[in-house]
Amino acid sequence: MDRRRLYLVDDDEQVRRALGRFFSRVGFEVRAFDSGAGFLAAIDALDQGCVLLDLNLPDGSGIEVLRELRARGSDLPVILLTGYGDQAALEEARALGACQFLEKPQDPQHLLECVRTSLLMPGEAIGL
Amino acid sequence: MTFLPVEGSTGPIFDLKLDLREVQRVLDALLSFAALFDLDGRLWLANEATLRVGGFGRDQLLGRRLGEAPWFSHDPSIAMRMTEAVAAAARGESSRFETRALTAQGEYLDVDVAFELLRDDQGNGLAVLASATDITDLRRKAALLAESETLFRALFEQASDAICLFDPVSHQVVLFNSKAADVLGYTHEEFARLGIGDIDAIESRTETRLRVDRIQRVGFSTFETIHRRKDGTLRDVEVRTSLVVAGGRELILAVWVDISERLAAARRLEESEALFRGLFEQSSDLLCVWDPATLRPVLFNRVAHESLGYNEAEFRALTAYEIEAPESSVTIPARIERLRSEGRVACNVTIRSKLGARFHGEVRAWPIMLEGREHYFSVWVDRSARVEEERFRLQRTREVELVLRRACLGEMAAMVAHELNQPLQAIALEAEALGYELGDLDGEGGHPGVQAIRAAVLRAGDLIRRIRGLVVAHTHDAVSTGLFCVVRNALAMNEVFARQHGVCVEAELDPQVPRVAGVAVELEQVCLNLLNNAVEAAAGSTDARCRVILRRGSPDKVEIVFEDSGPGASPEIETQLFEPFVSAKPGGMGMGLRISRQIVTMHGGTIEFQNRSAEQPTTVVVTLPALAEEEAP
Repeated sequence: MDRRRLYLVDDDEQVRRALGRFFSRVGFEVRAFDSGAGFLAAIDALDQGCVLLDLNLPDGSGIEVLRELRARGSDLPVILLTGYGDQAALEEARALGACQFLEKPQDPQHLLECVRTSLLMPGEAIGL
Repeated sequence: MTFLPVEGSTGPIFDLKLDLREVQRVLDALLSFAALFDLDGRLWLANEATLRVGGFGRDQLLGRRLGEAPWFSHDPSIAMRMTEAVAAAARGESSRFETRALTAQGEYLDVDVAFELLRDDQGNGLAVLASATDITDLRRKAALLAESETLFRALFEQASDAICLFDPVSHQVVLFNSKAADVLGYTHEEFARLGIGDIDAIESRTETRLRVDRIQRVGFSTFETIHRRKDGTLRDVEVRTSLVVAGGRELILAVWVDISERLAAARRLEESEALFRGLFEQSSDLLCVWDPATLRPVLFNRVAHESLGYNEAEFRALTAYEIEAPESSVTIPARIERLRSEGRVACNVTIRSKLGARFHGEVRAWPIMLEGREHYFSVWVDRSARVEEERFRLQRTREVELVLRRACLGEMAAMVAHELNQPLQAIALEAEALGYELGDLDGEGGHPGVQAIRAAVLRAGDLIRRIRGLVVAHTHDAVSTGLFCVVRNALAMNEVFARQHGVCVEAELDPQVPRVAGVAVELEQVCLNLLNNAVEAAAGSTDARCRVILRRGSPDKVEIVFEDSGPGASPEIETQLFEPFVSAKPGGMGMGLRISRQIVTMHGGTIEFQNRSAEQPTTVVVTLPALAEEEAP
């Protein structure tokens, strides 16, 4: 059972709640945020865990949140989740060291696998 | 020559110690009429002139009183006066007056008659001398002269031209008609005090003196000058001058007419001629004037010969038969026939170039007068090029529309995908969590129901992805693109739309802007979107005007600016202009600006909206990165 922390950043309440329920059920300590600003306000450079970050947020793009995170010196593994693929965003995410760029809907087991992998190999980027 | 005394006559004459023959000869030599009467008033001697005009023989007259003579007997009052004048002269009372005599030919003569008593040395009366001079011609001339003077005065006064006499030395006005004073706005008294220098606005005194000298030398001079009116306004005039002598004095006669209107008309004619010449020369159609006798072009524009590969001289030497291809729908003689009977003709005509290339077009012709002779004027319009151009424009419009349609569809597919993928993801996760609740703790294989839900969700997601792939699967193959053509094509596509909305679209396009890396049809779609938006915004505004500017922005940027005279966007619309399905237009889909931004972004550029303010109209600026000079082909 994982007791590691998972940060969820998604403005869609349904998705946020489902992700929270699923990852809690498999043993993660889930901390959920409905905006990029809320997440950035709560996070500390020394915090550990994995981030599941939605690309489209009400207060800006997930890419901007990722950039800010890196600017603060955090190397938290980040998996970007998006409602639809965007080639430009994918390339930018890759450049900012995102582990994964995944398009919804994903098989929950695959999602779990990705989160676990990212926690083992933080910072290694892989494709969509 | 006959001689008196008449037989049987008596009187004091016989007492004269005169040589009567000598007296008769002297009287006969006179051209005037002369006769001698005795103191009793009876005719005693008459000269040849008198008898000739009387038409009577001497014998018939002698011894008669003057009133009884046929010259005067026609009028009793004259007859009496004449007899009395002789009697009065016999008493020593001389008289002289003018009267009227009748000749033997029945003509009246005006005569100046005088009666004088001839006396002897002692002063005794001897005879009365009656003499008369024919003044008929003199009177007629005097009457004519008076008539002529009246006529001249009337002509002088009533002439439509201004007439003036100047003193050649002082240059002062001597005599003038009312028109002269009127046209220059002076009263009669004021004008009488003027000199040439007061009237002529451009001539110096020296120039006037030289001109007057010349008139005195040559006798006349005609010239154009400018006259200054009393109120200071200037008039163009034509002056005709001549040297006249009046009362033994040399004067300069000047007659002038106001030619300001004529000159203005001439200037207008020149301008109009230049305008039509310009239109003639710059027309893109082939314009020719044909000599109907030779069917050779006598006048044509540059397009006419250049587009067919001839120089001017070669073209002038051709006939219509050499320029036209034989396959024209109506033969030349048939066309001329129709032109003569109907006054104009229009038909399809194929012409050929010097090298034999054929061009299909339409000719319209009608007769015109040139140098007083009928010629034919023809306008040949190239239909092949126009058809091709129309076809190209239609095709281009379709392509541009396709870009919009595809982009709209892509945008909608993306939105639908996003909106559906979110709940699908939630379903999958919730089902998975439920599976754990149902005892499938490791998730491997899982509950069959959970497996089914997972599979269905993934299938739905895959389906959405595939559908979206179908509509957004287009490649962005950017090539070096000239924005001048892009904007011009968009303007052409917008032309009808703008006209329908009553909006005037101005374009300031710099053809020298650097090229950009892009897809022309996509950029045309952006320009067309923004142009249509601008036209719709401007329609109904006071000015109803749009402006498109293509210019170099910062050194490595090209800007396309769209301005409109519309009221601008409301604050609530302004913040959402680039959001999908947001439109300020009734019935607008709200995709145009969003798609424009996507296309511009894809080209590495930006699109910026500046709302209307006191300083500037509503403006949209598209900025695109310029290709470096060496990148451009």
